[in-house]
Amino acid sequence: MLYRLLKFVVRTRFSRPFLIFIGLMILYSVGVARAVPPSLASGLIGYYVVGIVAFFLAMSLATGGVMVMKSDRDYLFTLPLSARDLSVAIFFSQFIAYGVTVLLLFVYLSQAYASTLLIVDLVALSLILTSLGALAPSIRTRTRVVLSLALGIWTVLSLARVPFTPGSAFYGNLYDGTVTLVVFAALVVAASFRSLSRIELDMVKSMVRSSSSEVKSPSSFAGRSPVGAIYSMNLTNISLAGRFNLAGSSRYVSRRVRSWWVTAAAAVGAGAYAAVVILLSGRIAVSGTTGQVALSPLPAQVLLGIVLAFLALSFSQSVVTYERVWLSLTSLPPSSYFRHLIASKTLSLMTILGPFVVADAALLFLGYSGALGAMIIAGLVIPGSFVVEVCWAAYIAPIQVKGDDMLMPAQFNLKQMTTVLPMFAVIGLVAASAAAPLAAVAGGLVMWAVGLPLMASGGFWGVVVTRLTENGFV
Amino acid sequence: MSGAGSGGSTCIELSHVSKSYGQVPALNDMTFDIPVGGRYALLGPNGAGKSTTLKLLVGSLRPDAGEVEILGSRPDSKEAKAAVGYLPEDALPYRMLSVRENLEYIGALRAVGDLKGRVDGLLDELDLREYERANVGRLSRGNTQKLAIALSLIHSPKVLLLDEPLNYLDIPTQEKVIAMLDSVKGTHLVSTHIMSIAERLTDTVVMISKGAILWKGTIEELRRKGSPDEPIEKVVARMMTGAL
Repeated sequence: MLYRLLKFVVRTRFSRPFLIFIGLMILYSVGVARAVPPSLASGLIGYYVVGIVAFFLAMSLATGGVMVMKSDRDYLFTLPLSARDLSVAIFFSQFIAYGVTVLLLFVYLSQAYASTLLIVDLVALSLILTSLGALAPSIRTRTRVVLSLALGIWTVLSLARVPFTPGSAFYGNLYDGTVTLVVFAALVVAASFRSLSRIELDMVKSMVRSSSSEVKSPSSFAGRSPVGAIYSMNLTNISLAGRFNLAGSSRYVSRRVRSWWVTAAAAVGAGAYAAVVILLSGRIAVSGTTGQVALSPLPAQVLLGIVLAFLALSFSQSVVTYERVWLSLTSLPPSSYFRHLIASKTLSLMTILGPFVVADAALLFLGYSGALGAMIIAGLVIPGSFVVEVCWAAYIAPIQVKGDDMLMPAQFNLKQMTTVLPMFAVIGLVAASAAAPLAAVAGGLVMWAVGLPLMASGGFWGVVVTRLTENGFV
Repeated sequence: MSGAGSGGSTCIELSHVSKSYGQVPALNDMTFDIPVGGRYALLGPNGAGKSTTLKLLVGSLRPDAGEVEILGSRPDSKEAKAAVGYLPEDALPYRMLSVRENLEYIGALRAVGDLKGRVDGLLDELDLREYERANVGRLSRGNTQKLAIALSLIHSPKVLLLDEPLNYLDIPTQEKVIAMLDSVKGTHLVSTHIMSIAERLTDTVVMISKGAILWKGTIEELRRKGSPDEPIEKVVARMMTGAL
């Protein structure tokens, strides 16, 4: 029975092409990992790994979700199935959604960490990511944000040689770090199974509190022109909405936040980033050190570039998925509406990126030449990629978000997953930007050269409207 | 096929329209027109092509063949967009906006004059005042439908295209909406598969099945096709199954 249930749960959550894709990616990763010489592999890791572990842990908890669909609530949960079998089946689908990501990434590490403990570390980490994703919906939003930050900070403490953190195993404290990961995994796996065994109840609780019944600071569009209304809608508030896609799982979250609040938070983040760059550059002696530690600000800049690229991607996914074709596109010509919608969303994104551009400009002024590349990425490349990503996401007809945040809308096919492709170009440019700022400029200009004509094309948006409607957009 | 009375100029015109979704045909050489001021029902079983017809009329879809016109303009023209109010089946307003924000946003996109007054009027008429600040994602399905009806009427359209407008509404609200729609001047095309709704909202029927027109005429003409005591639904059922 469990096998049949597992098969059913996996088949209803993941498309067959996607499962084949994941299988091929694992084979590819293993192949590449075996081909990379250990000396090269060890040069690629270090605090990169800690940063990525911190990022994945924090993101799994902050944006995680249970892979449960509306049809599960209506049919599957009403069947006389054992709660244990159901929990195991859903946990397995959570593993494919969250846990596999880290295996794909860390298979490369096998060359650098020639220890069997690495396998234990990877399995534990994968179980932690899986469990955190499953636990996330049962934790209140504010608590979840605080816990995510705490988890990220705890992991990053491994860089200061703290032995018992989830990152320590990858930064000089293999045994202590492994113990930490195993204990942590045991705790969260037990908690997630307990949570999954009462998933139906948790879903209802979560939906009840998922958003306030009243809009706290409503906007007024009266007296605005059509174009003015679009800009007012998207610049006054930022819809923190996006499809978080970890290994093909899709979870939509939507929160509406005042723009000034997001810009203020970005300014704090940019300040922290600048401080980290200065510290890592060794220009300022850290108390207790000589300031001669062989650290480089480059990882911080690269990591920030990747995080901002992820942020832009999740924003770009939400532009079309939350759109209402029957309202906006029967009110204005599609090309006109989308042109201003994308322009306003890009400006909205730039209010988040702006503080980081200013921070990089300040660092450049202070003599940190590496900041030039990061500034180009945040100021030119990411906004350009955002425009391309929105146009592409609209063209390949994403799934419209119609209902509850908690519920998975449907399977994503391979074509729909190609929306992430522009982001890989951005990551390439992020990596190249420090050594070759001109390449980043050229890449950014190419993004804009592709995106702007699409954004302005009447014919393109006419086709998009038809495709959206044919794909069930209301 | 019986001819319906069509006084005045043409408002809605479909001429030899065909539309397929990939290999699946939805409309097959469909031709009909509706005069200005006409109250028509598009009646047909599930999958007959009713919603596709409305989507072609609002320009969300393009026909594979044939011509579609609203008041002499293409459906995707500014003129047609300004004239048409559209309510799709299972309409979804913006779920992150409040009820009032939805109405004001779409009213602003449509450049509605005295928008505040218009929104207030619709909120009161549809008993939505107590929900005006409510997050749409948290509304009941019935209140969401009332908001959707208000959104389709916000710009006082000359042409109303309504797909199952009474879905999810309780009986008192249905009566209120019927009275409200009755008072809206202009051309109405109501898509439904429920005969009683067609009778309450319209006077003429375009019956379609499998993407083609079966019959067109007034409801009185339709009623006369059956025996005096026969419910009109039975007549429609016999026509749709080819038994009449």
